[in-house]
Amino acid sequence: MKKLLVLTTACLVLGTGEVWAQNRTVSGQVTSSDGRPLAGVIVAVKGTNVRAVTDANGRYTIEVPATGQQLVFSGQSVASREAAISGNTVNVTLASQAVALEGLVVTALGITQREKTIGTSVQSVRGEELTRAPEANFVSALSGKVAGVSVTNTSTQGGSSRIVIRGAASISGNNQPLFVVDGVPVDNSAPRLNGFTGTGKTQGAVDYGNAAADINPNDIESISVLKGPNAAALYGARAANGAIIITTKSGRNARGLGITANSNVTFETPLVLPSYQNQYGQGYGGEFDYVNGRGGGRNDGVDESWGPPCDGRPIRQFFSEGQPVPFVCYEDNVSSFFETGRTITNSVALSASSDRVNGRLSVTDVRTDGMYPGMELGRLTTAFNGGLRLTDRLSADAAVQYVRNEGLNRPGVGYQGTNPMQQFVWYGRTVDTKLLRNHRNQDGSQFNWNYNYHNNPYWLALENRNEDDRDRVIGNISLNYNLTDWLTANVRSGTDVYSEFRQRGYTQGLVGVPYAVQGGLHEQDRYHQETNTSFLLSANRNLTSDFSLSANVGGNRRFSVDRDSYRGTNRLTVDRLYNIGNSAITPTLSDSTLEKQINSLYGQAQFGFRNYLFVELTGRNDWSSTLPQGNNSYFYPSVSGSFVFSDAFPSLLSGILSFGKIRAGWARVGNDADPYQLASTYITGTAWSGAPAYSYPNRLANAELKPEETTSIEAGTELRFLEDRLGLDLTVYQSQTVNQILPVQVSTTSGFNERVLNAGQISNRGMELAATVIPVRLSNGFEWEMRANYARNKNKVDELYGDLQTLVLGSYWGLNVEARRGEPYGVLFGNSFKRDAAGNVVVGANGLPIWGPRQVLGKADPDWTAGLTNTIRYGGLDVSVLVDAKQGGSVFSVTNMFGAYAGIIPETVEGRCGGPNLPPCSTNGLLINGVTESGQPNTVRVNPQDYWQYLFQLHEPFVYDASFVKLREVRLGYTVPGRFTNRLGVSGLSLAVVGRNLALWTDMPHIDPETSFDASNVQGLEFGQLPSTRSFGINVSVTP
Amino acid sequence: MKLLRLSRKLSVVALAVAVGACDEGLTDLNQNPNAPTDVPADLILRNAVQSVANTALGVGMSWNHAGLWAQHVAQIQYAEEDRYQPRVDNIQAFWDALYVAPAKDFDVVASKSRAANRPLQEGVGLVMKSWTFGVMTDLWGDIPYTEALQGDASGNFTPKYSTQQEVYNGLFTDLRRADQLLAPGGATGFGAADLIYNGDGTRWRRFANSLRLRNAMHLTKVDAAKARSEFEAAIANPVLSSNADNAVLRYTGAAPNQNPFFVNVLSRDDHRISKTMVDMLRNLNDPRLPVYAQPAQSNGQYVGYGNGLPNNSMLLADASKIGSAFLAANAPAYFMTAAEVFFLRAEAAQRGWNAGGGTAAQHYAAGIRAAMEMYGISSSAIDAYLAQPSVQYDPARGFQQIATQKWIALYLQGYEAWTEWRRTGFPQIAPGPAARGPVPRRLPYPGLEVSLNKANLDAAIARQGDTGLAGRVWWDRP
Repeated sequence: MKKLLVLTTACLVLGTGEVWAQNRTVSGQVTSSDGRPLAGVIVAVKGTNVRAVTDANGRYTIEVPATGQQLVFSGQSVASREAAISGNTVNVTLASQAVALEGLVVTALGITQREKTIGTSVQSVRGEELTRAPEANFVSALSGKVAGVSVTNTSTQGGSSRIVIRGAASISGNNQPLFVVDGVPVDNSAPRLNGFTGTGKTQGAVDYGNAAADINPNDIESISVLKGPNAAALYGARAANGAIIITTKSGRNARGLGITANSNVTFETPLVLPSYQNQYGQGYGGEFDYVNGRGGGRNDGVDESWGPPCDGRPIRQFFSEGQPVPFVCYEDNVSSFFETGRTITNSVALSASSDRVNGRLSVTDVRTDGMYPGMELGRLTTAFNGGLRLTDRLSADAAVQYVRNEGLNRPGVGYQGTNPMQQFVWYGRTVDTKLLRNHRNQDGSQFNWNYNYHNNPYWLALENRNEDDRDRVIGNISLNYNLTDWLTANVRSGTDVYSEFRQRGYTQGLVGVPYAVQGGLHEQDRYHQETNTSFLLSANRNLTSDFSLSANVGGNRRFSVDRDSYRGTNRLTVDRLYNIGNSAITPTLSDSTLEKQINSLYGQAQFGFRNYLFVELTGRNDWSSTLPQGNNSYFYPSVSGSFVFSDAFPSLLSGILSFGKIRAGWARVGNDADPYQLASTYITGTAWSGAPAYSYPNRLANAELKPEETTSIEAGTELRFLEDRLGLDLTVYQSQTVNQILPVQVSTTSGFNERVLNAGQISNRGMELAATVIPVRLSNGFEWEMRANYARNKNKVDELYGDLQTLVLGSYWGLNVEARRGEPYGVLFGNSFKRDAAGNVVVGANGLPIWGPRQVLGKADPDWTAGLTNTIRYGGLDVSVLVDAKQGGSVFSVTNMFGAYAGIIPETVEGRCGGPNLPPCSTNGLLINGVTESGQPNTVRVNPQDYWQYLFQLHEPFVYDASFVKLREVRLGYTVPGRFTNRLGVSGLSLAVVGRNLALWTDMPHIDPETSFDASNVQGLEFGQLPSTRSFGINVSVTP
Repeated sequence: MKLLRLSRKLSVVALAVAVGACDEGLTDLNQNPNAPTDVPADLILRNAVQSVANTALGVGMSWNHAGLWAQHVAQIQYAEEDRYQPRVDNIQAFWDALYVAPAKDFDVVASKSRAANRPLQEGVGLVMKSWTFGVMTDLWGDIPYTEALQGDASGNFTPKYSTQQEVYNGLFTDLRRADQLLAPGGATGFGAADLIYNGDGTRWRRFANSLRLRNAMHLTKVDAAKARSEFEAAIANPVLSSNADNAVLRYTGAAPNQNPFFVNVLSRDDHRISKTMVDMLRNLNDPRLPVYAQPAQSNGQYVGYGNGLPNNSMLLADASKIGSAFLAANAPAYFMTAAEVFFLRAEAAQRGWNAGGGTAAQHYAAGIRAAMEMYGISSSAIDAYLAQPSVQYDPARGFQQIATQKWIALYLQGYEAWTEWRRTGFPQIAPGPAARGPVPRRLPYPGLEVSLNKANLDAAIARQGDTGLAGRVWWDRP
């Protein structure tokens, strides 16, 4: 019924229109202040949705309805302006402006709205901001650029980035925003790696990146970030976490035939590697003597560095063929393993437009040679975007991009043998990495420094095979029909489809790799498709001279299917023959299909009063296939308003204030379940000689699930001062998510691990501030602009289920990441030191600290994030520097925990004692700063090896403040002036030196605090992080 | 006019979408194509037997906890457990892996079979459920039992803890019922899905009664009368009496059906045979020494590794690895053996109970013989061994001899060896020099119960006292 009501209302509203009126044709030319024709400027009849675009000569023609009074001109990098329609020719000059402070933004459903009419927080990022200092993953390139958007990158090259807007709202579900490209929702899934070896499909734990990273930054015209459910109420449930609306470049802006070529090359080196001690070598208790590397000699199977001093004393070592040779430490034995990476990006874009046709074709190729030996990544994107004006009323647009992604030799990540950093956390300080480069013995077997636990890192990198590729098409077609001058109908169908192949092949003879016992092969075929088909009717008109209305009514059908097929074996008959037919055992097979459909109807209406007061209402109803019949329909409304008080009371516009607006919004968004949550299913067990076996379900399903519900309110203000040289945008918000569809962990004594419930409540509140300041703008063209953003979010798990205090999201080495009642989502919960009332660590009679209770040791999310971009332009020069920061938030660093256990980090040097080669512990050992149980200062010295190894799984000392400041982007660019380029025979040429992640300031020892295992909800953990990249390079852009 | 046409168009579109919105197909789309919502009992049994063996008879239990504390084996590196500092995650893992999969699965096998009126199959389910709960209560004392496993049936997600006495009474009841259900004998109908007895109901009945013997004997210190009455009731029925009767999972050796010890040593080398075991075998001139241990790499001798040693005390190459027969891909996993039953009967006879006929000495010798025959020791070697004065049955120290021989026979069946050591105190086991406390006598409760079933856990802890490693379960009396 509700849907009919929406439609009827829409019909009534639309039905109150007036009689048809006569159109007239207006044309003219748009030029820049220096007299150049401006192409691609949008010309709109104010109060309608009639639009035209200027051609290469800056000329336009537009059909103006009789009611039309004003034309609005807006475009990239120019100040918008309005002009009264007087006569049939309107020529305007637009001032160039770096920041389009008053512009049009793309909001939900691709509706372009004037910024000032919007009652919710939307922040735009221009494409050029993403490519200023090139980063292949555009999600990562958003770091520091949008208030309230927190990006966390796994440090792996080509790895995934997690993006969360305004904090996590869902306890167990997805907390990342919806990505939409030209109106088509696109997949952003990323492998869930679990920190360890992975299971089944993820065995080998390779981070293949997040799927939205396929979108080529060079093709992005602009991004609108819709931050809360308010802004996204029209995109449906998935946008409850906000939405990233991407508009790709089209040919509309082309000046006749436009050709742009862009090339850049950057070089990558590790930003952070642990510091190592270089005083003591491999061994145990001060002793080491190599015989066979697996326990045959004295501690030669030990991979730790508690050995003798590396003072050059003669000791038999792994390479010395039984001869004692000088025992020395190698300072750079980890860093020298990594190579200088190189990324080359080449792109060419062709575009053209006429009054009937426009198009843009681009090809971009990105090739990376990784820092990890043998690693290569490649991405080829071909994109076409075209528009046809078929008749005066009918136009058609299409956009399609084909993306080919290839990966070779991506390293494993997490705590497992194919991650090189796992071994480097244990790597003997006396191991000379150069000698391992030759990684084969005469007989072809592996030559290594230790045969108990590790593989030669070069063997891992160069002898195994790890390949993946993904072919993806994202496209849409749409038809636009202007029914009247104020009413447009649009039909759109778009799809995102990809197929992906992932293969991990392992040679025989690996040590400690359970998924490659005697060789191994793991292959996965993935297929994803999501198709959305929608219609939209848009009305846009002035009802009276005071009242205006814009309204949209539409419907959508979304169907998605994900198929995943895996085959794997941990034994191969013939070494290095990577075909599943070569499995020495019955291969493991698995197969899954997930299908989902959601039908929706929605409507939006915005009422305007005198162009300064706007009220917007939205409503949407979804019918989801994943909820029980009869309970699968849910409606969600929103209301928001915007009041431009500087327009309402022009007297406020003194010399100081130049624009002022306040806004507020309320929204509720529903959310459905994942497919197949309503019935419990048996779990495939371990087949016996191929005969099937099953285990009773361990997740108790719920046949009566209800949709989740997020309610949010936000309010904000936009103020601009001093002729727009200072702009402020402030938002405060609060949201609550209830009825969460939650697999609640239950005591396993019930026979189940978890049961699915509607339960729990999470609240988020916070504020966001974006500011733009132009401290200096001189008449000679010199301009200094600062853009800053700051966001603070307070998140709290208000309730789980009944008396349930905690829900464990993930658990590693005894440390849990939990959703704990009364605490922020994602606290780190683990073992602490026992402390006395004064906070001193209590030490036992043996001189070692006593373990205290398990408690909250930190939280994954930061308190606040901030970014600051400084840009200076003068003549052809431009300099820009982005610094971003995260404050608060913690990381449990297992690199530090095991680095201490293994005695490789400098902290472990103090007090080395015991054994034949070292002084006695009673006098030279480590004295722990603490008090005895009776309150006396500790006087018992201990062997530091005992101390640091005793701290294993005592998590507190290894949970660190993860605050940091990063010099994220630096660019120094020069646009060659026309008088020189003309001589070179090109019309435009610019050069730039660019850098990313050039510096890091943090208290975090040994690792980059910006880290994660994967893009899942389990954050705040680090182990064996591959070094994050510092990149540096040059960029050349040519327009022939 | 135009507006009229327009609203007509609108209604057509609205109708099209409206029809879509109410599509019955939406619900059909949510039928799970990936996994079944019901399967027959035999497929559940096939999985549960493997999973309980991997948990209760695998590396975690026999090499890193119970078997370590019974000093069958020693850890040579990362020796936290050997110094009595078990990792909290592992305790949780045992608890979860026993409750969620096998205990629940065997319960489902029994209830499905009862519903289908298949008494023999119900009996099989009850025997395995009892075996599993027996292991659990001996590890943790009071555990959720009478109210456990009912999340789906009654919505009870916080079952109260039964006292260990209640658990034992429940096990006796279930095993008595299993005996009755299995009494007709013959094929259970499980066939090859029964990985232990290949569908032989007659042997299942022997296993049921033997398990009742074992449980009865566990109670000698706390309730000798009950111990005797249950034992004598059970021995009136058939029990395991030859190695052919052994309740054993014979791994095929082809992945994934491989012995967990084999899988472990493929990628790790963390264990050696314990010095306690090697010394015992050597002192008794036991022909099983070369079976239980491999010669040390450096000197070819059989050398045990001390339990709970400080770091760096001994070269790994100087100590013996666990015997290769136990490390084979197809090495079997024993749930219960005839040898153990003979030792139980020997002890019963020694106590003056009805042991189903035979003297303590006869059962003692039969136990040793059966235990040695499991490893192919020749009958002449067995005879020679039995003839030694140190081995010959001596009623004066009969309890010690029986317990010692059972401890040897239970090699790498760590949970039962540790249980019987706790009850009998034989052989003598001392903590290693780096141990942080006495030899553990129980497992602490897992951490998540504190979060998920706190009130019931607190009550169980309150009535048991010390539930740390040094605490004692109900039947364990000083």
